[in-house]
Amino acid sequence: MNILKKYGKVLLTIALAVAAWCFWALRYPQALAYHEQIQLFLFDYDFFMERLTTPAGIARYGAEFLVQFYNNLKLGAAIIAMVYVLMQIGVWRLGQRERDESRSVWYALSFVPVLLVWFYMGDENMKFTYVVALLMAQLSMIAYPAKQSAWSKILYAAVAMPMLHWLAGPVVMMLGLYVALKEVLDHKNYALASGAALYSVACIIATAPWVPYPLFRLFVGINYNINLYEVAVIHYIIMLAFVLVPLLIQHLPKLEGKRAQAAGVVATVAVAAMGGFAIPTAYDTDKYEVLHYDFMVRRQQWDKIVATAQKKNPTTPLTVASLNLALGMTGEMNSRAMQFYQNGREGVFPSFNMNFESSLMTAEIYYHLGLVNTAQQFDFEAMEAIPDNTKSARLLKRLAETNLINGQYDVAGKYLKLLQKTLFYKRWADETMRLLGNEDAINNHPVYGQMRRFQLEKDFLFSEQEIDKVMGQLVLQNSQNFLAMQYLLLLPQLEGNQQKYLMYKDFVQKTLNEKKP
Amino acid sequence: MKRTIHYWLLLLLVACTHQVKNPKQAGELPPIYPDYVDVTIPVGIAPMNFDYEGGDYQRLDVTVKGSKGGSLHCQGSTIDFDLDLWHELVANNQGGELTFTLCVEKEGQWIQYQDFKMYVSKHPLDEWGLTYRRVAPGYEVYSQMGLYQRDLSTFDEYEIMVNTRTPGACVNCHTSNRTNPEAFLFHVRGANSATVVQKDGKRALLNTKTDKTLGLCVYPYWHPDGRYVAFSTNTTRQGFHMTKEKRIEVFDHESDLQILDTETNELLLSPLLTRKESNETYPAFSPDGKTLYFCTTLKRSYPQALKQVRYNLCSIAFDAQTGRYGETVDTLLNAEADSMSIAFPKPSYDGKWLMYTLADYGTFPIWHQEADLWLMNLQTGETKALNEVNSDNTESYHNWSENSRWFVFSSRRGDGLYTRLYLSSIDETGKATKPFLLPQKVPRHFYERLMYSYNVPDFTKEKVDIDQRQTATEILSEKRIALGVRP
Repeated sequence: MNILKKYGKVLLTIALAVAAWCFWALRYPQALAYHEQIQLFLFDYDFFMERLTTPAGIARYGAEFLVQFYNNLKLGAAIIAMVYVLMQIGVWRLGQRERDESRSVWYALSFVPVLLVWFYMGDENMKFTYVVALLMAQLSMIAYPAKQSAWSKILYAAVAMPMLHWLAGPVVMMLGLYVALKEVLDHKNYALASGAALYSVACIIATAPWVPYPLFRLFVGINYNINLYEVAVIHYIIMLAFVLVPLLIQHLPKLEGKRAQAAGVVATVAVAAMGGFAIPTAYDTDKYEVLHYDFMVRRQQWDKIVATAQKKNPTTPLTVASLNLALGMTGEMNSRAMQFYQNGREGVFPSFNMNFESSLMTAEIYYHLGLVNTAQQFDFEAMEAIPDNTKSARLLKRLAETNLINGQYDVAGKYLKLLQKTLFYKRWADETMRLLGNEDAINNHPVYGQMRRFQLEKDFLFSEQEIDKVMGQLVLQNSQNFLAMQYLLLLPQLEGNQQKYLMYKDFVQKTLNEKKP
Repeated sequence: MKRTIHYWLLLLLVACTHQVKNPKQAGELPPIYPDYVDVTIPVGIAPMNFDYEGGDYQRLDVTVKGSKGGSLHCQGSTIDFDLDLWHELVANNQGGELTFTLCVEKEGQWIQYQDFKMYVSKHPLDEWGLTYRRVAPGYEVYSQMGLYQRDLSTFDEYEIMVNTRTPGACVNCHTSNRTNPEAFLFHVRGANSATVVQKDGKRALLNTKTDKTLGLCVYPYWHPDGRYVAFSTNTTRQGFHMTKEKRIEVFDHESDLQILDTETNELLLSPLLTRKESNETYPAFSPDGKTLYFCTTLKRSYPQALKQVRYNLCSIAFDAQTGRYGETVDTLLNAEADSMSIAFPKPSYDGKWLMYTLADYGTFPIWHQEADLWLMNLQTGETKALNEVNSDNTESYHNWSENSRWFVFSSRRGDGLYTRLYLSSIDETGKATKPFLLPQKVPRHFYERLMYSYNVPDFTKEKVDIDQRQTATEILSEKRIALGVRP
């Protein structure tokens, strides 16, 4: 019991870290991979300056710096766990400015804002910029000279608020509210309180004429969410929680003895239960299933995809398309595809709908088929479809590859040079740079060489409606393109058109016979 | 005073520079980026900074000497000329030439390359700068993009309108009247579609779609008197090639021409320009405003007959007093007869020339590697390829300076995908000078880092004065002026 009393707080914080790490590393690694692939962090002066010259740019820079480490999923999970811990300690530190041990009973409450963040992170569109911005706002609140003279406080607010707004965005309202509440509750200084609150809002409004964004986006936060129009209520609830919970801890009654123990246990259990029950509900199963399939396709874990599908039949076009690709890559498409749920042509070649995730995943199918131009088109569109206008290291890598295969070495070189400025893609970019212009090396490359051999030589315009014809052309182009053959034979099966199936089968057989060495 | 400060700074710099000692002669022209060897530049152009492309080095040293006097020295890891000293040197050598001596220090040894020259044109470039759109060279989806303007005497770029102000919108087809931004317009596409017309400081947001015309106004050209704007209206589609040589095909299922009267907000139509059996596009007024040039082709089945679609250059009379079209269409260039297709006809403002883009087929040469710039003598009707400026890659959109001595054009010659801007001048006989890439402070780094293409370049006499914030607010509102139609 004494150990619990002595180390209880530390153990709870460690429990948070462990739970967070397990959650992200083991249960939702696909979420980390998703966030890593919708950004491009460059170790480059211009990149830093681009960020510095936009509101919340430093929060964004910090977030992007951290998110690049998601490339290593376990490290990425550790980073999130560390940030959660810092936030929780920050809340406790703010609620315990007087370092009154008798308030330790309320320690569990300091987890509430963090659990809300964890809950909100279930929205895959929320960007880590928001989390870093919250952390920066917390720091600014901790640094507030609450016990010093009014002039010190005014001076601090006058300098810190515009700075915080520029570096971290609308979380400056947290500082404004914190100062206001602190001054009202502790000093009854209504003038300073109202002044601080208004000033924090004024900081946001004052920057509006100087930045190329509508005012509402300055209040929502540039890059807090991947969707530019997203204004989630929870976004502000969390900001409020980071201000109110510390003040609540500070002003809750002091308890002693058994009452304190009981209250502590109740608070801890209630907070843990809240987290344990609420957080999983924020993670939309279907959305994360799509991300999971994309995650496996990216890593070319074909057997794992099939095994996953065997446990739970995928039903959305993107997941079914990923499964079909995996079956094709393992040579089992025509024997096994119909054992799984199918949703027509959409589950084979999802149609282009100007959406990042769909374009990205469809591009993978075309790439493996050897339709390099089409893959390039979908990859480029996917990158442009990232709603917050960022670039993607994953897509830039694939675009470098497609341009390399197509012999567009200048463009490939342009992308590779950018990737050379990253941490995790640099080595690959350095190695690939050596292939530029080296026809023999590319032709003999196990992937790029094969892609070149698969590429169509007869030009026509791509048509989703005539995808059978495209597959047929691929088979004619190279009878070793077994993936195209499988897709060609699957299409009539999906339509239930036996006559067409037999015709295609005959075509495939004839092509194989004619091109037999 | 300014000059004195510069001299002191120069003195300080000289004190810090490493002397070029016993340089080894390379015996060849220096490998530099951009290729500025033998280019012709106007007085007032930003410093023509360049990068050395001959491998690793410790230091660069360049001396520039003017044929009419003056010199400039620059040493460092990059060639970054002092702005004021550069302008002074170039101005003093108008009509003359600048000789560049580049020495490179490699592993403690200086190497001197053969001198190269830049020629300073006797013809001024009176415009303040360029306007253009910057957009990723994509297909159907676009992310961040915007209309920008660039001060040609410095490296400064300013926003005209960027779509971060109007989320989800596409801004395009900006155009001013004879480079004068007092009359300026651009389109906004997306949920907040509009044509923004700003004349003499007053702005109007038009809904150019009517039930009597094909669709929204597209490619614009101002009538010289500033009252009218000619537009095409196009039903455009895209197709995607399957082989590595080509990426995209853009084609019009239908297209017509119409003229907007900005005083009455009416579209003036002509049965000759709205024919069912043909497509008309890319309008451009003659400098006197009496003739409307455009491209036209017979409608075909798309995309099957795509490679047979070839546009000719035609014209029709226009009377600005009455707002009436002529009764006949003249064919000026029958490109179809040569199995070629014309796009972007742009008459020079002095009425001598008409520059256009010639490609193998189609209406959108921006994605055609074979597309080149051609010049037509409007007095004699003779045409010729502008071989002095054409490359193995795409040359497409272009525009004239008001004195018609300079033109800017976009080309994919840099890397085959990302379009960049080049400037060239033209003499009395229509001979163009070797073009130069739009200067940047550190060119290689800038262009390699840039993930956007430059589109629709034009000169601008002055900086475009537009209240971005207010304009964006108006764009985001639903208030639009509907257009009438006068058949």
